[in-house]
Amino acid sequence: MAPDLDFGRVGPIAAALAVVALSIPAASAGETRGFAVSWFQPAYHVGDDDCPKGVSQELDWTAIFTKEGKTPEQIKALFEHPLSPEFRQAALHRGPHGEDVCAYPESVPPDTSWPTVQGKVAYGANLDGTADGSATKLSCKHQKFVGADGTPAVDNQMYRVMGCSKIHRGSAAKDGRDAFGIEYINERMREGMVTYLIEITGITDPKNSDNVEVSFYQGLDGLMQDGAGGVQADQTLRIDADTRWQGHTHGRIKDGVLTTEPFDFNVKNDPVWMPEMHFKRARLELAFQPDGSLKGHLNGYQDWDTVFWGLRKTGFLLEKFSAGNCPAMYYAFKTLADGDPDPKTGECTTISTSYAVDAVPAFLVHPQEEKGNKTAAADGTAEKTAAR
Amino acid sequence: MTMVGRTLALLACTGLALIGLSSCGDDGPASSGGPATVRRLTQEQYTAIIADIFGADIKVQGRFDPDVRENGLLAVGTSHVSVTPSSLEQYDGLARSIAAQVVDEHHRDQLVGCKPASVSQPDDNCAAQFLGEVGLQLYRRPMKPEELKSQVAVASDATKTLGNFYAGLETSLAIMLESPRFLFREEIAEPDGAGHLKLDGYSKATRLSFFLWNTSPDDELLKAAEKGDLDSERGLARQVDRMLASPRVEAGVRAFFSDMLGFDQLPGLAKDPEVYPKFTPVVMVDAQEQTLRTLVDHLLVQKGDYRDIFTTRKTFLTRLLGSIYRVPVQSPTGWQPFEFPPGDPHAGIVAEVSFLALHSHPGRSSSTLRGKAVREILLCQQVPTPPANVNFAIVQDTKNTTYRTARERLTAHRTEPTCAGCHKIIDPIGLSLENFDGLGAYRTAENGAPIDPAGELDAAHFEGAAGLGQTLHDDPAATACLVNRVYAYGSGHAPSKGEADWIKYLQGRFAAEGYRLPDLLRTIATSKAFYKVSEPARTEGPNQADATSRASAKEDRS
Repeated sequence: MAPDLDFGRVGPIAAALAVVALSIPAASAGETRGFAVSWFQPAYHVGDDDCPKGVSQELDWTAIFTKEGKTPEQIKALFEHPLSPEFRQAALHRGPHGEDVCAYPESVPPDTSWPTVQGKVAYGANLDGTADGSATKLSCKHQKFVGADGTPAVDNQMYRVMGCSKIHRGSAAKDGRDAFGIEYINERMREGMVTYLIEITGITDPKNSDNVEVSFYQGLDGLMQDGAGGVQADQTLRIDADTRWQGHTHGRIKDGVLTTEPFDFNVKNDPVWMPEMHFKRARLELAFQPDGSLKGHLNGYQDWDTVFWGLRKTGFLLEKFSAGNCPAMYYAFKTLADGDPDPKTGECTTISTSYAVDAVPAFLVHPQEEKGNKTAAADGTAEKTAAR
Repeated sequence: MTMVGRTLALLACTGLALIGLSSCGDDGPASSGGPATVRRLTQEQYTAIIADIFGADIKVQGRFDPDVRENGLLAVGTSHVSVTPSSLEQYDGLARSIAAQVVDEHHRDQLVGCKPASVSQPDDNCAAQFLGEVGLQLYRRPMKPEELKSQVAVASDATKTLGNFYAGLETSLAIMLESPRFLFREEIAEPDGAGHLKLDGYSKATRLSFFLWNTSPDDELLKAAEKGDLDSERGLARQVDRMLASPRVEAGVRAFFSDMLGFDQLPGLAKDPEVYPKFTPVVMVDAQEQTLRTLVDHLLVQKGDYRDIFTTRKTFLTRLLGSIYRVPVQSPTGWQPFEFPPGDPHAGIVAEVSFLALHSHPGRSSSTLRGKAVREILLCQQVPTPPANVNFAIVQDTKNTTYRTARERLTAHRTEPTCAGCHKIIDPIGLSLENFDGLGAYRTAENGAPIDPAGELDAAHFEGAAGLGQTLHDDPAATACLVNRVYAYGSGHAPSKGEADWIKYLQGRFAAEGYRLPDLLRTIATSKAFYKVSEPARTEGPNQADATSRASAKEDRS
C-alpha cells in the first residue's frame, strides 16, 4: 500500500497477522476500520398475532367513487382505464372541496381505519428510558414492546404504524426482509442508488475498546455487488464531503459488540419513497462477525413527517399500487408518534424506530485524500503507463 | 542492443561454435528453419485486420471456432486447424455483414475510393481499383491478375443481376472475405540462393507483422516486401526497428502472453458463488488485464529483466481487483498503478488472480493444477496426464475434518503409488501458493488450520509465493522456456531438432543482453533463421502444407 494514504481499513499485512478465522480478526493499536452498509431498512419482527385485522388492502374505489356521487356507468368507465388522469383525479381528490387527500390529509375527518400492529414483540431499544411508555420531556405516552431478544420496554412506534402495511409485511422465515417495500428499496441501494458508510476509529482491541469514534457517512460511489447478489466486501469507496449527510458519535466495543452514544444525523435515500431520513438520538448497536462484517441495529427517532412525506408524495402510487391510505396513515403517524413533543401543540414530531444494519468491510477514502489524488508509484512512469 | 550486449552475445555464439556446433556469424549458428505454415486467423487477428483495413466502426459480429493449443501455444495450433462446415457458415455471415457495411452509404465514399460512372451499371475500372487495393491487404500480397479479373467479373455479374454497382461490389468483397487466402496466413517458400528455402517477401512481411503486431502487414511493410527490402539485412532491420518502436508492438506482446499464459480459458472460468461470492466474470476480465498491464509495463515500457516478472511487487489494479486483494484503490474508475509493500506475499505474476484463479477448481484451490501450470507454462516441462481410474475423493473433500488443509489432503492422496510419481514433481510447487484461495484472495488458514506455505521445485526449497517467484527468477529453465515460446509463437511450430543449436544461441544471447524482451524480439525478427524454410516432409499429415508451399513456389517461379 502507498504509505502516504490514510485509508480507513486494516491492510493485508495486519490481516496476515490475524488469529484464526473463527474469532474477530486481530488489529494493531488505534486502528481504523471502514464498512459499507449492505442492509439498511426498518427492522420489522414478524409475529403471528401482529395484524389481527390482516394487512392493509387497496382502497375500495367503487365505494369511494359511489360516495363521490358517480353513477355506475361512470365508475365502469373509470375502471376501464385505471391509470388514466381521470381515475387518478377521482381517486385522490376526495377532499370535501376536491382536495388531494395525500397532499392535504387533514382536509378529511380523522380516518382510524389504518391497521396497526397489535403484537407484543418488536426490534428496537428502550429509547425514552421509561418502563411503561409514560410521557417525558422528550416523549409522548405510548405503548411499549418486548424486544425480539427479550429486552423489556422497547420503543418502536414506526413498526406499530407500518408493520401491517401490505408492502412492509414480510415473512418470519426471512425476518421480514422479503417485504416488497423493504427489499425493493434495499436492492436499489445495492444497485448504486445511495451508499452508506460506517467508520470506527480508535480501536485498540476489536473485542473490547472503551473509547472509539464512530461516523456514519454518505458515500459518493455506488456499491459494487458480488457474484452472490450481496455487496462486495473490501471495495474502496469515497466519502461524501457534504457534512449535511453525516453523523459522528462516541462509542465502545464490549465483547465484540459496538454501542454508541445517541447522535443526530441525516442521510439521503430513495428519491421516490424516502428522499431524506432525519434521525434523532440514534444509537448504533453492531456486533462484529467472524468474517469482519458488522450486524445489528440503529435505534432512534425519525422525523415522522419526513417519513410520511416520502410516502404520500407518491400519491396514486401509494394508494393504488401499494395498499396505502393517505389520511389513515397520516392519522396513525400523528397519534402514535412518541418523540420530541412540539412545545406549542404537545404533539410528538418524531417516531421511535429500529433499522436493521448489515455492513461489510470496506476501504474508505476521505475527501482530503481524494483531492491530493496520490498514487502508489513515486515516479511518473507508472502513471503514464496507466494513462495509456 | 548495447555494445556490451553484442560482445557478450558474440562470445556466447563463439562458445557454442567451440563445442562443435555449426559455425556462427552475427546471426548465430545455422538453423534448419521450420515449415512454411498455413495458419488460420484467430478471432483477435481477424477483428484487428478488419479494423486496420476498414476502420474501427465496421462491426465484426459473429462466432469463431475455438483455437487449438499445441505444444503450449494456440499460435502453433493454428497451423493444424481448418474450417468446419459450421464455422464456414459463420465466416459467410461475417463476410456478408462486413461487406455490406463497407459499401453502405455511410462508408462507401471513404472506403471504396472511387465512384462508378453509373450506380446501376458495372464499372470494371472502379471495381478493379477497389478490389485490387483491398485484395493486397486482405491476402497480404498482390492479387494475381487472374484472381483480380475473376473478382471484378463477379462484381460485374452481380451488378447486372442486382441493378446496383455497390451491391455487386459487396458480393465480390464478401467472397474475398471468406476466401482461404484471407482466413489463412499462407506462407510461400522460394530458394534463398544458397541451396535452401526461405519465405518469400510477402510471407516474410506477414510472419513479421503477426509476430510483432498480431495483425496483417501495413502499407509500409507491404511496400518494403514489394521492393525486396526484406531480403537485405539493413532493409529488414529498418522495418523491424520501426515496428518495435511503434505503440502497436504492445498488441503483439499482449497477444503472445495471452497465448502463453492460457488466457483464452479465462472467459469460461466458473467459480462456486457460495464459496467465492466475490467472483464474477468481470473479475477475470480485470485479472487478465492486470497481468497483461504488469507485463507490458515491465517488459516493454521499462524494458526490464524478464525474470523480474516473477518477483515484482508493482502492478496495476482496479477497484474491483482491490476488493479481491483486499487493498485500497483510490481511483474510482479505470486502472491505478499499485505497489505492494516489501515483504508482502503478492510478488510476481504467480501471485496474481489471473494465474491463481485459472489454475484452481470452481470451489477450491489446487496445488496440483498450479504446480502443473508452473512446470508446463513457465518452465516448458511436460507433466504426464493422470491415469483414468484415479480416486479424487479425499482431495475433493474440503470439509474433511481429519485432513483440513490441501497439503494434508494431497499427502493422503499421494499414498497411491500410481499418483505419487507425478504429484511429487508438481504438488510441492503449488503448495507454496496455498495462502491464496481458489479465487486468489490471501488467507492464513483453511478450516481453522494454519497453512504451511513451504514449497519445493527440484532442488530448491522456499516459502510462499515470494519464495517461488525468486526460485523461478533464478531458474535458467524459465528464461529458456520464454525463448522457446516466443520463437514457436512467431514461427507457428515447435522448434525442431535442426533448430536446437540456434535456439540455444538465442537463449545465450537473451541472457547476455539482460533478458530484455524487445531485444529478443529484434534478434529473432532480424535473423535469417526466422524466415528459413526447412525441406518439406515427404509423408502425409499436418505438414502437407509444406508440400503445397513448395509446389506453389515452383509455380510462381515458372
